[in-house]
Amino acid sequence: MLFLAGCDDDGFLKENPETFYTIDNVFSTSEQVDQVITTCYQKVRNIFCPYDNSSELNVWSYSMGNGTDIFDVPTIRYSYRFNDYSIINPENAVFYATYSAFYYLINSANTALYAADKENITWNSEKEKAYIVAQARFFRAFAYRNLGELFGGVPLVTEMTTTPRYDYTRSTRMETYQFAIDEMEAILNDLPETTAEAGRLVRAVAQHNLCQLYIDKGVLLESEGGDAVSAYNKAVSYANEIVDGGIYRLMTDRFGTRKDENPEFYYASTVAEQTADHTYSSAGYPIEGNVYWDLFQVGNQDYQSENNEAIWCAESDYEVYKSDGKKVCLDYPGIYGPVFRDQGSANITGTREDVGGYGMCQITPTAYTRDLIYEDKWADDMRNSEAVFHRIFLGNVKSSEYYGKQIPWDVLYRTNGTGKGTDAAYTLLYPMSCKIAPDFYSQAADGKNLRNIFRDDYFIRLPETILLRAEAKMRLGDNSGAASDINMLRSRAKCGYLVTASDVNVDLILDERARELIYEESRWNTLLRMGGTVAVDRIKKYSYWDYPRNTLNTSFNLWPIPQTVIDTNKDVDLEQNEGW
Amino acid sequence: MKKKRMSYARGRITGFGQKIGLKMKLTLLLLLVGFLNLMASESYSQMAKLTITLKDATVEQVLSDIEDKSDFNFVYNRDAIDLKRKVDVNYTDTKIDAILDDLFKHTNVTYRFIDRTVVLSTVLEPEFMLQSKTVSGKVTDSSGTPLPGVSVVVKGTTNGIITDADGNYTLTKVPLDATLVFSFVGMKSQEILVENQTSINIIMKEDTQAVDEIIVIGYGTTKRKDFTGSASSVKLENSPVALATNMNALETLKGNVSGLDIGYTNTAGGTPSMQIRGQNSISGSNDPLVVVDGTIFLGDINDINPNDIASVDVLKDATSAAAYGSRSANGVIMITTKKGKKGKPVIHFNITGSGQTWHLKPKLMNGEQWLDAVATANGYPDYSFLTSQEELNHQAGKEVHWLDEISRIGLIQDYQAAISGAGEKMNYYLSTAYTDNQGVIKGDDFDRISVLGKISTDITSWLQIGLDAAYTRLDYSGVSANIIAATILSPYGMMHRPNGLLEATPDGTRGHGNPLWGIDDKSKRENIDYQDNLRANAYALVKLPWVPGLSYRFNYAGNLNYRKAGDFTHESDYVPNGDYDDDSRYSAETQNSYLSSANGNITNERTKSYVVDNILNYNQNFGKHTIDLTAVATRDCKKYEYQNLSGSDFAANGNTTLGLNGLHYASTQKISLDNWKLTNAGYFGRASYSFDNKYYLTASYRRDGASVFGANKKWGNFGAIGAAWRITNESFMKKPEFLNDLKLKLSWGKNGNQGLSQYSTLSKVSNGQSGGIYYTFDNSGKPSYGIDQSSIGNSDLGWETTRAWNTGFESVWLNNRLFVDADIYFSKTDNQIFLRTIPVMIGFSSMYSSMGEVRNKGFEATVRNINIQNKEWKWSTGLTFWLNRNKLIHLYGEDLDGDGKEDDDIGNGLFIGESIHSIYGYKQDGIVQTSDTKYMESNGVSAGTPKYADKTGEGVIDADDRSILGSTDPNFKLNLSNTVQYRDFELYVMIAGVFGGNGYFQKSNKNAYITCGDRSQFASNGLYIPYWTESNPSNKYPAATFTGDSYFLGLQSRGYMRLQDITLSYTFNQPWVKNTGINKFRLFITGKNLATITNWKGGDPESGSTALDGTYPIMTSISLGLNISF
Repeated sequence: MLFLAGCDDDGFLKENPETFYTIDNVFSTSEQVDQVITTCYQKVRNIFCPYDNSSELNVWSYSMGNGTDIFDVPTIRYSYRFNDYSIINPENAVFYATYSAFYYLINSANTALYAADKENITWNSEKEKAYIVAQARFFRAFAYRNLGELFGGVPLVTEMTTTPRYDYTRSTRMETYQFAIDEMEAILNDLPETTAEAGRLVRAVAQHNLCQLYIDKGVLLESEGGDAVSAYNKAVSYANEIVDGGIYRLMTDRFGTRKDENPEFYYASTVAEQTADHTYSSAGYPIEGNVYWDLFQVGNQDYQSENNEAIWCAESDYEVYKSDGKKVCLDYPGIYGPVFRDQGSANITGTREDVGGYGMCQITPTAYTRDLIYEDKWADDMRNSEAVFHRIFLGNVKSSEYYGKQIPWDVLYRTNGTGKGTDAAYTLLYPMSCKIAPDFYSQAADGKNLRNIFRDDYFIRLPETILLRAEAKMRLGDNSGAASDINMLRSRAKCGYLVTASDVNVDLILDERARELIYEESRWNTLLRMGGTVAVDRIKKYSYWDYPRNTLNTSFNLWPIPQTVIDTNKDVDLEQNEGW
Repeated sequence: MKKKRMSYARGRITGFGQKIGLKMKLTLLLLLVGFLNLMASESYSQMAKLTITLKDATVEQVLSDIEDKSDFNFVYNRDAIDLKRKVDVNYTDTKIDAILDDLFKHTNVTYRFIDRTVVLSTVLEPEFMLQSKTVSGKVTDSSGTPLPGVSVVVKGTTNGIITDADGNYTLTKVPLDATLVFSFVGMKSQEILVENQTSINIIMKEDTQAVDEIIVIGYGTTKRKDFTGSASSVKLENSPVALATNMNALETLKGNVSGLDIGYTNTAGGTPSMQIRGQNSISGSNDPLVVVDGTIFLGDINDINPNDIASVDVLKDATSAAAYGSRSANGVIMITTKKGKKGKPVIHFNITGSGQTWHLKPKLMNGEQWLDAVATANGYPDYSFLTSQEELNHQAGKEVHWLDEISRIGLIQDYQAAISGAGEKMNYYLSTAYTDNQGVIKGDDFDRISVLGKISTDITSWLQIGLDAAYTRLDYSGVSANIIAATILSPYGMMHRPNGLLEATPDGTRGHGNPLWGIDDKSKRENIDYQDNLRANAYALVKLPWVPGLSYRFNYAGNLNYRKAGDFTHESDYVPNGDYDDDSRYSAETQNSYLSSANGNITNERTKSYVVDNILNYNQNFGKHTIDLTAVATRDCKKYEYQNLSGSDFAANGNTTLGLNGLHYASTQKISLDNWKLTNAGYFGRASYSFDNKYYLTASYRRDGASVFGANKKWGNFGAIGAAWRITNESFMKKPEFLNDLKLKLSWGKNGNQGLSQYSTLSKVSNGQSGGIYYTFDNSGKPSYGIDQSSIGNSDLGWETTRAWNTGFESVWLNNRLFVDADIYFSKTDNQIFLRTIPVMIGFSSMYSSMGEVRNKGFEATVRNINIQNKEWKWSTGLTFWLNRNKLIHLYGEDLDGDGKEDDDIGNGLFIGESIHSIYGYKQDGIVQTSDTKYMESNGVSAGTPKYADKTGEGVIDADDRSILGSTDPNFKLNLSNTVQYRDFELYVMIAGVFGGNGYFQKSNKNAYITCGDRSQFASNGLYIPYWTESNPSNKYPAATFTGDSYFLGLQSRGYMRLQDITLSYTFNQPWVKNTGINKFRLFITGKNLATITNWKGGDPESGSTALDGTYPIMTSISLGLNISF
């Protein structure tokens, strides 16, 4: 017909995307394979340092351990509670979000391996390819370690998937651990001992993970029957390679960007009032800096900046935050910061540095975290010093009788005649760690509110390796070895009390981890990998609210397989974990 | 003068002759010729061959027989022609002129054809030769009651008169070749050729949607009586329906067409959703295809000025929609725009002004209730959560009603002017309109300017060309109030600072923004959003001269849309949280510190599309046989280009004085591009055949290709077949008095749907800066961008195919007073494309996938009755009813659990044998009371939380206790409209109802049960909830401390009845109107969404919005307007 005669219909109908790539045409250089590895770094960062409190609260609950013995929620955040087992079930979004996040990471790692195998990619060197492949395999193994600790045996997906499957089967928890162990061991030599590029993986990262994996394997072998001892020995030897390898050592002297400074706050609720005569020092409450405080000052986290206990860090950057967005900040003041302006507002208010910036208190430390682990002989500890765990708050409301003076905690807690604090006050107001709330915010000059910090964040710091070694030694029965490992940390922290072999047990390990690694470790992994009823017992014992004590009437040492995963994997019935 | 009687009153010529005036039929024929040029009617008299055998019959009987067997109508003067003369006739396949020559061989009777009308006259009639004369007569309605006030005008002149109280008229100086136009509100206008008559009595007919109208179908038109499918038509020109304040062409259809669901409009310039006969596609668009003046419309429906629409035909079943193959499974909406009418040019003005208010505004808690709710919900023993400024207002007893503060009386002004006319060879329609709408929410503004010009002309007897061009400018610019902020904020918030200026954070350090912040304040926020649309349609119609009835039509429709949108946030938009009386928060220094946060972006979108149709049509009558053949080759293409330019951080620049136009001074500048193209190609053929006005058959076939599908799935074949039987035309059906007409119809067809957007079959990748994945190694201050696969492709995705049966009838009863149409349909859709939740181990949580088979079945009925009709009063009632049932038949065809039944897909909430809109979950069984100790113990819950039904009886609520709780589908829809006319007043009332019941039409409404809403914000306001307490236990509302659990849905029925439209108009028919040269002058007042009865709480049941979700409101409108034409 007219105007159409001879037209090429097939050519007319062909889809030819002009402005985006597809998986089939994106890869042509080794640089692009490395960009998939960059995606893996970003995904790990998102899991452990979520940047957005509104869309990622589910991950927040996982990452630092909301609902464990160390964190609970304040009155105003009931709806985020993660220890009320009348509402926690396999349909809870925290489980699905966490489970998914690790499989998204696995998929990116598998995609990198697929791309690295493509024939059209030219490599600058074999070494370049080996490092890229090693990073990809590390991230995959890392995801399986976490999945194994949290969910037990999970389906092992080792290739990029192009067509969906509905017949995944669960491996055993042992197979999951073993896969991670085999992969990590296979790539050890392809990871460099050190790197010039801060944030990149080094060999000690895999060694640290192997140490933890062998402990996990040993704990499992103990319950299932097997040679747990050689597993623990492997754990110790991997830890030894890091602790005694000469590359890493605990920082014992002041160092870094602020090594000649002390922390300083203004008791002032507005910028205008932040004048020299409103400093804590001038009011007679000077704070002395120390090496532990240095560890958490901006610019001091990377091994490349002479921090010898930094093994692996999540990188933050304010310039990149301004140019590209939130994914490179730490929202710690916002999520973990107290809210003085609510319950304390008669005496102390505002959103400036002295109250922890613009805290929203999504998650609150339990009594265990803030007080119990520092009671009596445990009190004398650099990690409990005013610089590190800020407990002295000066009134900044002019009409307050405490203006410029320390407000007693029973006033802040609004304690009644029987000595019991008000729930709202107790859960919204608490001592403030320098890990989540600094005395200086880089973005303040740009008028931004003080709810983010732009500091690199530790994924692995040497003390955690030391605590893993202590744990492995304890499990081997070497309590004195464990005690001396723990005392490495306590000595560095100039603690008044050093532990003895007889102090060593699981609780001590967990207490010391809380003292050293609060706001750093992923407490859910720690508790669940301990096996037995450790997690359940401690949750019931230390939670602020009574929910778990009233509602946790089953026992579990694994999270449930998310109901959505069971429902969608329609061809094979994935068995639910015990207790759910 | 000899009194003459005309035969019109008995002019039963075809089966429809009784229902409409003879001349009306003529007019329709003319319309056909003039509008559509597809019917080669002039050739009918040359081509039609008749077979007649009668013995000893009168001439009248012969004429009557010819009329019965053909489309011919005879017009003659009874007194002049000897009708009683007996003749014997015996013709076989003889042409009409041969028969007539023979019949009147030895008489003085001559004949001439006007289309299919045969005018008989005698040479003895002297009046025939006169230049002008006087005509008089009486006008009555079909019950015989005289009609006063009917206008009788010599067509094309101003010579006219109004009938008197007895329905009589006398008109002088009527030329012999004149046509008289009889018109009356609510009645069908009739045009009568004067010829040799001096007395013309007219029976005016209801202007109903009678069965003899022309309907627009794919690539052509047909008479409704010949139509085998299911279609509804809405005439908007001169209808009370068109008077209502509808900003959008679609809104006018709402409730007027059974089976068509038109959604709501809740923003200024918003576009409602539309859906025909239930949901066919899960993930794809369910929008029907829109066709304007015969060509697929690829633009924005908002670009069509509702006032330019003459009529809308909605094609619902498979045969009617089959012409559009791959895109017609959702039905087709055919819009016909106005055009000129023969006669003197008409100038038309339409002016409307409307006021709007928030319909069903939620009632949020007052201060006291809010204090109690927040304290109880969050475990506060006192009101210590109040910020200092809230405390001030609390003490002073000052409350702010935020929803009142953000809303206003909305205003619409609508002006339209149109000029139209037509001559013998040319037809034109020019229109321009301006609409300005200030929505109910402050800052929600819209205006539209549109210009339309249409012209068509006959170049030669065989060539007609036409051109339409339209330009529309839409302006959505402006920042609107933040509804969510208004629902969250405390009633004790501080609106203003001590200096009277707006406070940025009314609740102080809690930090929720003022919902009015930045509205109409370009120093804080700039927002622009303009769209310019230019479209042009051209056609050429060639009546191929060598084959009568054969025509070729070429259509080209081009559409160019340009949108520019931009948003800029100045540094002064940012204010630190703090006390309302702390002026330093607003100081220049503080503001300048926010320069690094200042940012803006500009979006440029260009959409270019074209449609090309080549249509070959052959239409011919052979005696009682009528054949219509159509062949089409068509292509269309839509190309979209998107550019987004953004800039942020103006600290280095120092100010943002240039705002949106200074993006290039930003420290960080980004570009993002997105282009896509959609193409379709189709080949279509259709054959229609009818015999003797009794039997109708249509069959069509289309082969269609679309770019959106996987490489091997691009082409699809579609077809349809339909049949109808006009049973009342059968001789065995001796027409009973009560039944005037009955047509039965049956159709089957297979249509497609493009359930995908472009490039959905591909595995897309996110990368580079615009991909949003970045990591910063080495504190370099520069991001490294990552690559990530963002979707998992599926190259097997093809057409969604819908096969549908439709059967029904159209009928007219009780002396043309009762009209009943009903349809039943059954459709099944295969290979539905949907976003399937997949095992996340794949690395993706969902992908586009196709699944088994979904069936829809439904029933639609339209009933219209004329209740009262007399000299002064007329009252008619219309009822539309429709229901649709949806059922999933097959999914993946697997039975893995081996129970002999196909497996459900619980993960996607899809269950075999149930609606795809099923709600699956835990059935709530009231609230846990303190006495439910066993339940509390086994489930670890406390009293005051929702209680769930223990289906399994195990005592513990777990995944096995889930069941299907209902469906989000409505049960049925019922609309009732009444039109009452009294003299020159006309009142139209439409009540629309969507009904639930039996689990239908439910939706989760947690905010209606949970104190302070979903608790995503501390101290949020919300609906007042009489929450459970130990002393005052409720079995409906949980305790205030309950924040939801993963089981709780708070299902509520969305069923409602709404007084949707009221229109009252008055037409001035006084002599002074005519004397001032005004053709028509009408004043009207209309109301929209005046009242709603529903159990849905906190929002609007139609939109399903809840109190805290920030949905823009549906509006109540009252309008005042006037139509005037010269």
